[in-house]
Amino acid sequence: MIKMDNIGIAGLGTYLPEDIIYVKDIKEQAELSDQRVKDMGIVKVHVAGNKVEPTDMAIEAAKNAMADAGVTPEEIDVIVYYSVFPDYLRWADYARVQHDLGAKNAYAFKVDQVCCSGIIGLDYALAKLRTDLSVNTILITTADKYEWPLVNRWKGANANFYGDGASAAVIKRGVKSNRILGIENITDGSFSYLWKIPVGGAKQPPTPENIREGGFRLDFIKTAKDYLGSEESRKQLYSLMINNNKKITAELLNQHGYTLQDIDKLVMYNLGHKTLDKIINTLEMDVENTSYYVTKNVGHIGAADIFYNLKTMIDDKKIVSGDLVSLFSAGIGFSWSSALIQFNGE
Amino acid sequence: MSMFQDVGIFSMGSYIPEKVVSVHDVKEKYNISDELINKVQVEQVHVAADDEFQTDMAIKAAKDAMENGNVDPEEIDLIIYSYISWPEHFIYADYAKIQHEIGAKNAAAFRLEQSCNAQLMALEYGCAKILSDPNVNTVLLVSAEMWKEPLVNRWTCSDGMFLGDGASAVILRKGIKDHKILGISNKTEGSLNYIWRIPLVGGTKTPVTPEHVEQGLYFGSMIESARHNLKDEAERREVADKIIKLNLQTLDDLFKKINKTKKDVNKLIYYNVGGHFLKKIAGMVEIPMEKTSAYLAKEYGHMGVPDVFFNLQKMQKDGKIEKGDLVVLFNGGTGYSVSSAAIQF
Repeated sequence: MIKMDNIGIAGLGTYLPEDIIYVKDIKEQAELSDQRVKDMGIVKVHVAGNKVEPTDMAIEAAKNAMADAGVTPEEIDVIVYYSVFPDYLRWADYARVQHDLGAKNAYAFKVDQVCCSGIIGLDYALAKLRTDLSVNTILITTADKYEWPLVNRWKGANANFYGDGASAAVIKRGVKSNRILGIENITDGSFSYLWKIPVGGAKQPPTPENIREGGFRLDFIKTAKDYLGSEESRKQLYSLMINNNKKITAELLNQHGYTLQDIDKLVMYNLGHKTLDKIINTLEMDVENTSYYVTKNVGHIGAADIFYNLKTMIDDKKIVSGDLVSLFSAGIGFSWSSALIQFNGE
Repeated sequence: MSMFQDVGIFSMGSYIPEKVVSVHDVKEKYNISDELINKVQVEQVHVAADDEFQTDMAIKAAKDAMENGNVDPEEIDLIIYSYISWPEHFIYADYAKIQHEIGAKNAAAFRLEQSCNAQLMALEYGCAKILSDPNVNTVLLVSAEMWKEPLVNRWTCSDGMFLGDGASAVILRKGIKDHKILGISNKTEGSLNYIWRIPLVGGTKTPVTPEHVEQGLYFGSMIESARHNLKDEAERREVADKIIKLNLQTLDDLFKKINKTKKDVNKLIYYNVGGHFLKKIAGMVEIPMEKTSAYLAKEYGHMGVPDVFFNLQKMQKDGKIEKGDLVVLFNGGTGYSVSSAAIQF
């Protein structure tokens, strides 16, 4: 190990598409019950429409993060990219990001652990910067676009509404304002069959009929109906989600000599308020000290949530010097990831 | 001095489906010219059974690597899964299925993508992880590919290779003394990304419609995509020059990192693309063809990501790698990225 002690987030950037849809305006059209709207607590989401694609948004967020960090494109050594839905299915989108940013000296790749992918990017950056002195600057950028007919942003999942957008982070050695202490990540694939687009891959190639029937669509509520018929299986999944959520956060804290009580601020992914309430309770946090309030304005932007929320909380002065900040996300399949960041003086 | 100290490949595994199809059996059906057959020099490929998919093959390769190294599933801390072909399903945690099926209860798992280089990139990630994180000791890298109609045609997808099915896996650990990884180099030339936007429909840009399927647009063809995006011979030449330059830059960077020269290379292990490409790359390293993995390309074709670790394992089994050999792994992939690693046996 080379230099362990000063690897941190040197800059953060975000991008939200201009167009906004308010939940109250589409409630009828999207057939959302009052109860569902209330459980979500999400007021509006930004939508990309046909104006911008995931890589366009990721590039904008990356530029903002680079400006925030004061790094030039040539200084970037590695780029880590992810979007849940890609612009094109089999395409080196990460290479487009590298080219359009002018990051001539960078190599680029994609990591996929769905909504945990931003934290996986942090994991790579931390491991790489700790062990390779030839690498100094790593850019992580993630974007998401939840467009019909690929997904119904209002009814594709039972715990959230989906919004579009992007966020990025620049990770470097010698950062003064914060220090990444560590990352913890675990996967339990026992429910991996639950989420998928049924049609379009090798198992079920597309036909005009299965496309017409909506087979090329991510619809968790439908697959849950197909696979999670019994109350018992639903309970099993729910307890797995909550247990691993707490386990991973507590394990990471423990590795660094802390307990749940030591967390000053919690940055979570943007699920609906009903689900976030449970996470906050499990982690014994005060809602005021979490990213809960950010969710209502943007919805769940997939892997982009974490850096988006972190930046918003810093800009809003909700995260201040001296704060021990815990990042938490879970991803379909399922995986759980947590990162611990110490914000320093000044 | 090794870049990764004593972190390296602890054990390897593979899975190749039984069924073999020779290029001569299908040349009439797919209108493959003798000229192309002579250029590519791939004699046959292995083809997955109808009820066999990528994750099935990946799980078998992973279990083979675990058995060869006597590694318990509970010991695995991290799994990195890769492929470039069409998966079983899109937006699907296939890496999590592998984690569950092999019983790696204590592992994190994710997918890493850098076209055909993904597992050399995963090697870089895995080594950095073991070296930097005291809680991570055992990392499984696994890849699998399957090229299935009507999504792709393994014989006509590219005029530089024929595509085969199969899987390979390696397990990384500390304490590897007899074949240390000296260094890894990786470069991306993203200006070439647009050439292979495959397929044109199905993503967020143009969601697939029943009409697209009827028109055959939901189909992966490297030739079609390049034809669509490169307007003339001059443009094709420019792309080829950029790729050659990137190949040379990546090799130079690797040799600089490990403080060696071309002359020190004893064996070259690369992807199973056409013989004409393999000859050019061997020329760049100035190594005779009989000291490369080119003989394996003839029997297996280009499987995609699994090639490099499959070839490494097979050459070792075939007694082609000797004590004291400096082995260079080399790979290139659409986008465009080039990756190379050096192992001292």
